[in-house]
Amino acid sequence: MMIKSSISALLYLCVTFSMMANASEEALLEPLVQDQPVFNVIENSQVNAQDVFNKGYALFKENQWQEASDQFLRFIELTDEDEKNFEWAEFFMGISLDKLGFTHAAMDRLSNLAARKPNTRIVSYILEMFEQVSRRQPFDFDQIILQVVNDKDYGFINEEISGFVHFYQGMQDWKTQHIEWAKDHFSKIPKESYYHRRVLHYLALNKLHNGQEGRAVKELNALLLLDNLDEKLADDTRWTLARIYYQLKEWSLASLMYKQIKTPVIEQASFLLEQSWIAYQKKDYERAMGYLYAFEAPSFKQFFTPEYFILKSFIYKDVCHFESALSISDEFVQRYEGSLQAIYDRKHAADIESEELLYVILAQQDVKFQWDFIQALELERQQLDDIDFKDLKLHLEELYSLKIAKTSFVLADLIDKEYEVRANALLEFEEASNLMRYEIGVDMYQSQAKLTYQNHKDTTGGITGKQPEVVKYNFQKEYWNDELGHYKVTLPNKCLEFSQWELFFK
Amino acid sequence: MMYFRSIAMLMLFSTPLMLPLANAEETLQKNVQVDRYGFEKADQSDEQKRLIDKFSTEKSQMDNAIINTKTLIQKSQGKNYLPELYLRLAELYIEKSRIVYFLRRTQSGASIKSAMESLESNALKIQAIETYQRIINQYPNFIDMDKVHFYLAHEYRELARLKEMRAQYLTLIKKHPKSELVPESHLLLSDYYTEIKQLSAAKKHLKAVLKYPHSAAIGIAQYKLAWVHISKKEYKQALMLLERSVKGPNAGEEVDIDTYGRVDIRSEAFNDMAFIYSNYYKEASPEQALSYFKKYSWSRQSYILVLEKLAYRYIVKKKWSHAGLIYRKLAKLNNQPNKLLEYVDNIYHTVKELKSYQHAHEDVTIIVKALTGIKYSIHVKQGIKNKAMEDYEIFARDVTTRLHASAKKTSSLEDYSLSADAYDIYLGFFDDNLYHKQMKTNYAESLFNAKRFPEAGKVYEALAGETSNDGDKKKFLYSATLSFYEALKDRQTLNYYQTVQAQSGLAHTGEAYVAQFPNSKEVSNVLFNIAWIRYDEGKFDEAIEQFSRFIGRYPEGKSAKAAVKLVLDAYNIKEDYQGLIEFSKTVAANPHLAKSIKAGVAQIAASAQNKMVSNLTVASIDDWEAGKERLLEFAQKHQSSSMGAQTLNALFISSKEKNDIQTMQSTGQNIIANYPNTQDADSVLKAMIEASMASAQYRVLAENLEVYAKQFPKTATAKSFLLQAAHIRQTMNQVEMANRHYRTLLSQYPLSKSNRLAYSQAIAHNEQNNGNPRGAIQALARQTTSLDREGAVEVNASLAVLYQQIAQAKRANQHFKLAHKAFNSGVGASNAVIKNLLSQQIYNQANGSLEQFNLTQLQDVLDESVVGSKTELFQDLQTRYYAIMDLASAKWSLLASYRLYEINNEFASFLQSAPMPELSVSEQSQYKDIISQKVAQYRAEGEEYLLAGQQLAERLKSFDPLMSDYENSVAANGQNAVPFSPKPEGKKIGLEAFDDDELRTLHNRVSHSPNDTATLMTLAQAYYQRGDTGQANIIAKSLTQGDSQNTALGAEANYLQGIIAIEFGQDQIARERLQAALQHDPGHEHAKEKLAELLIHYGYQ
Repeated sequence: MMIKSSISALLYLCVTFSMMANASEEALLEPLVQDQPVFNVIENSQVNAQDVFNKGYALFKENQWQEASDQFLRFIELTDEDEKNFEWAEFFMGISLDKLGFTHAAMDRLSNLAARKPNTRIVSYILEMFEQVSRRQPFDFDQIILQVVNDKDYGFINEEISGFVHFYQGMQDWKTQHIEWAKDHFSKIPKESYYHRRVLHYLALNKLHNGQEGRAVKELNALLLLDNLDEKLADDTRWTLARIYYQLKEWSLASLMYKQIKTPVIEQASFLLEQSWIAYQKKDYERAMGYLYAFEAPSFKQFFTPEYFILKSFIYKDVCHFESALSISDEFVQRYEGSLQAIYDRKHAADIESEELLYVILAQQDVKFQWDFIQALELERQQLDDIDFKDLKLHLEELYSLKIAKTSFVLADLIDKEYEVRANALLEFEEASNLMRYEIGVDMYQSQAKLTYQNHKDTTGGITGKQPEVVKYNFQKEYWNDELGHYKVTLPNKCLEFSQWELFFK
Repeated sequence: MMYFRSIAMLMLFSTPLMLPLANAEETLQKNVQVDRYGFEKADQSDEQKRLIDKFSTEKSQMDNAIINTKTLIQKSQGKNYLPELYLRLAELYIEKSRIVYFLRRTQSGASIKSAMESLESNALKIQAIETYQRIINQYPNFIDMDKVHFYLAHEYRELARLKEMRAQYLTLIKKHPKSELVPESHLLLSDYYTEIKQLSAAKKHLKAVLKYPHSAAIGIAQYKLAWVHISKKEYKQALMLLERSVKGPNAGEEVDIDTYGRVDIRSEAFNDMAFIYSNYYKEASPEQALSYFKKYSWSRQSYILVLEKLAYRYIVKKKWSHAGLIYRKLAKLNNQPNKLLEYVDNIYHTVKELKSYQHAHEDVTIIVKALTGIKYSIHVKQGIKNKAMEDYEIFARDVTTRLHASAKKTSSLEDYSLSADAYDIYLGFFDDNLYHKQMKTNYAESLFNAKRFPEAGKVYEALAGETSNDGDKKKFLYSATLSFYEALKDRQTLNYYQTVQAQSGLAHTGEAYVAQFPNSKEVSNVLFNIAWIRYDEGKFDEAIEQFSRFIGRYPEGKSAKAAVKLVLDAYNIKEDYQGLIEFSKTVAANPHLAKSIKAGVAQIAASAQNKMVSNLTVASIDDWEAGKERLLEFAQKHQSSSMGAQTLNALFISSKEKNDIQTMQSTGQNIIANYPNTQDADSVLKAMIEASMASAQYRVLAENLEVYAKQFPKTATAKSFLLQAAHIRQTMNQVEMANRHYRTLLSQYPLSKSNRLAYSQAIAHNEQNNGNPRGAIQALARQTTSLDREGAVEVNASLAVLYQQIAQAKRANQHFKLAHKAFNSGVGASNAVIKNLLSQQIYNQANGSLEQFNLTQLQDVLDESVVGSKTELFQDLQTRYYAIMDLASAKWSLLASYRLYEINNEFASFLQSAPMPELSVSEQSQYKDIISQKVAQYRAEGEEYLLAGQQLAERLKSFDPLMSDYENSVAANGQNAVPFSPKPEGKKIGLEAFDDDELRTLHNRVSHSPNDTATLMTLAQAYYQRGDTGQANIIAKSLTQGDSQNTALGAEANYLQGIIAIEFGQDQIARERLQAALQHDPGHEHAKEKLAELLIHYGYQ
């Protein structure tokens, strides 16, 4: 339900943001926020800026974060960067906002400060905050990482923060094909730090992408042996290994890796399908189907992909449940009918008709990051009602509006691009589904033809199940962590039975 | 810096001295708040006071340290560490000098330095110099003498006593060549010579530094030496040195050299390389430059810095393309909005100078990247934002449109594509300004010209939705339609999504265009394409509907032809042949469509019909019952059309294949009834005939034969079939129908004279049997002239009989004479029929004489004339009857015998009863004897005739009513005898037989096994039981023909025919059949019984 409301919120936001964008453009003609009006100038001219700072600092010392923020904001607006304590005012304001729970407003303020290269103590503290936020929640990657962290060499920072900085700088260099610089950065990351392990993981992935599966496997396994490995990184590593093993057709090892993943249940959704593929490759059809049943859970809706139907068809087809296999095409159509129609009707990602596809798009890593960031911004914006100071409130409202507008601008572009990709994939799946239907038909015919001439002595062999029910433990609209992938599905192999075939050949 | 480090070391040795300093710091902390973030809060005056206190304290501490050192020096005279203490004292003077300087500066608070502030500080420096001199003078062997010279030189430099400084460095170099301070001394000397512009000397000392590769000074030396080369425009050497500074063994190491502070010589050298590179590598491309500096960069930040320098150098040197490319590279490396805008400014400059816009897309991307950071920043004032947005929008618009203009000149797809990309970026960011519409229009145009049609279509469509100007809307909508259409023409290049977009887009925009601009000349084109897209999407129903409407509206031209073709194709793909055929009718009915189109459509429609029927036929193979129903239903649905005929024909053939006689017959009838002129009718009918014959359905057979004759009357087969039909009808006692066929044969076909005679006679016979002699006469009379002589004789003979029968004696006589004359001349002498007829006629003619003869009686008087008349009549009758007997017709001979018997007896009785003439007794006796003899003679003769007749009758066993008289010795009365047990006409079961399970089964069985006589017999009996005696009769008859050895079956068949003949009133035949039955099976009780009944009826005992 949470997801549902979030989607609705997104749809609402897309409209709101576009309206905001218009409003913002109008503002170009008639600025909504003009330079300080004359009476304020007169008023402000009578104010001693340092008094304001001191007042703010006093409040800050007393943990009066809201009041302090208001004073620091006033100071900042009264003065400029050359004013004494300007850096500190920005810094304290950032800290205060963070204390108030306006993390992203704080990060924005501190990024702005850090970009101007203030004193090293401030920068160190800011980088430390960035490091913590980056590991904790979605954030403005562009502003924090690209514009600040990657901006210069920070030779004065402590080891842990140094790892953070060198990691992102190295990553950026790697991504932009500056491999030597990247390696240099990576070499400067403290060996025991979290970021060193992330680098190891990243480099192993890189080897994998370069076709060095063996090396990648070796390095990833070595990574898993390290002490105090971050749990998420460990799970990511296991996941990667599982995928490599899958590619190498090492089904058992792949399966073992999946079992070791400790990520909470909801986040397992994305690899349930992969586990099902493994089980399928191992010809453990019942287990494969079990994973797929688990995958159907409503909570996994946003991770759902059309690939599910193809795999399900394969499984049914392989055990000659042709009727069921054929019905999968209908299931596919039923599930994505709206989305397919929306595509045919040239709806956009934000249109309500595309909702089902939007779930899939939002699960995509980049999109999800931005989407989560918008949600985080929205949550913080809702707290603005608790601000008692008009100027501070206005300032923060504008800040969040701008930030949400920017993120929406980025997100909308990502979604549009991803929508095209996903829509194309969905159409491709639709065709695959049709072809699958045809394949099933051919198999049905061939199996029957084969069985027609087969010695009937064999008819009892190879049947794995005896129960008439398909699902021994019916899905009860709820699940437990240890149940996933263990739904016991009996899927008798019907390939040696043909009495039921008349049904199809009427 | 090494200098200050030495002081720090000294202080470490002087811990006791430092204790008061630590305490002072502690005290100070109490007055200054330092929070956990490192912020120290103090107001300006407090801060000044704090610093003054701080420096005062430090000065005081220094004073104490100096006093203590001096004291120690005094106490250490003669000690070997004394020079060390002097050295420490000098350094304390230097430190105090620094503290004093800061104290004075802080106390004055002035921004401008004054000489007074430096006075005390300089005095302390001089004291330090004197102390150093003392060491030199008094302790020439001091181990750290190199340092003394070095520090001394430093202080001379501080006091601007440069010559003395130079002397100290030179002394150091000369006297302590292995000192680690030598390279630095050379370096500082080079600075001195540089300062006084003695570059050669400076260069010499710098080169000297290079001899100390492990010295920290080498980097600076290389750097400086490079600049020496630069000043001489020796760029190659300069560049080599700078490269060494950047990539050499000590590159990147922190350099801490006196007077230089913590210089980052690598960065300095690297940045300067940018300057030299552009001078030395004048011909290098910007790509080569980037590669070069990439090689020497150690981080992205260093790369950015050097590229900024390099780009600027190129700007200065007006190498615009170089500068532009490097700034673009920078924009990729840097993410700072302000920096990006700086780059943009420079890029714009280069672009304008070059008048080259091929990088517009990249440039607009940079602008947007920069402006995004500004637009959404809370930290940028709105006014600044607005200004930036306005300024850079102009730039973005300018380069984009210029690129577009350039693309128009080159007409290059690549240029158009780049232009489109630039527009895309522009519009994505500047989404609502004065130029938006025009830019979007340009965007669409670029996309279209770049052949990026799906995107072009979408943009044109959006433009159409945004404008309220009708002209624009029309233009945009049409362009959108055209774009989508073009996209789909080359669909191999489209992915699934693009294909769907283009398809749907074409339909949507096309429909909108047609709806809003119905009178546009393009409407036909658009309508066609809308329909086409439906076809392309596989939405064939919609395509057909729309194409059909199109054809109706625009029937002329190539488009109509294409539309027709696509409709046909759509129907074909759908396998909707019915629809196709209906469509073909509309095409045919359209007067404006070209004949060639119509002809083509007709041909395809015909083919479609074939397919439809074939499909149905094929489907019927697996499920005949359902399949034939569908075929029939289909045929009914298409009644009166060629497809209906074709379907029925297919059904007919299939039913024949399936041996489904009922369907075959009913279908055949259907074909003939509804499609009599179809080319298949002949074969259909023949097949029906064949099938009905094979299945022993004679009534149906007769019908089929009749239909054939009617349908194809001109054929020889028709004649034959009609004759067969006549025979069948005859056999089934449907004489009227038989006659009708005979008449048809006689009237419509050339016949042989014998056949003509035969058919006429058959008609006449049937008419006679029906009690219609006039009908018989009519039938025969017409043929008299068309027969051969014998036939003519026969017909005349028949006519004679018939006329006689209707009491037209004159005519009868005429015909008789003709016949008789011819016969007597030898014509038909061996023709039994003629003989029979002549006999009959003679017999009939004799009837009058016979009556008169019988009536001629004597009364009481012997009247000679009466006797004479009687005798004459007797003789006449005798003659006639003898003539009959001469003709040897069995029946009439028999009757003539009887009449001869009668007339002899009559004449005998006449003589016997005649009154006696007036004669004597003897004469009377004689007369009586004579009479008696005569009477006996006549009677004897009569008896002979009677006996002969009886014998003949026994042979003939005739049930002829006339003969029955004879049999019963009853006088012929000319009345017909009552048949034994006739029945009214029975049922006539035709195809209905197939509704009867038993009959159907039997027919089918017979059809499969035509020689299954037992089944045939059962079938005959079944028909008989159901009242269709005609059908039963003919089947039974078929069994008795030929040489059947099956006596039981033969008996049954004959018996059945016998009892049927009774019902037909054909007792004669009945008797024959019953007798035949008994011949086959003498123990056939039913035959015996029935024959007995029959015979009894006719008087047999």
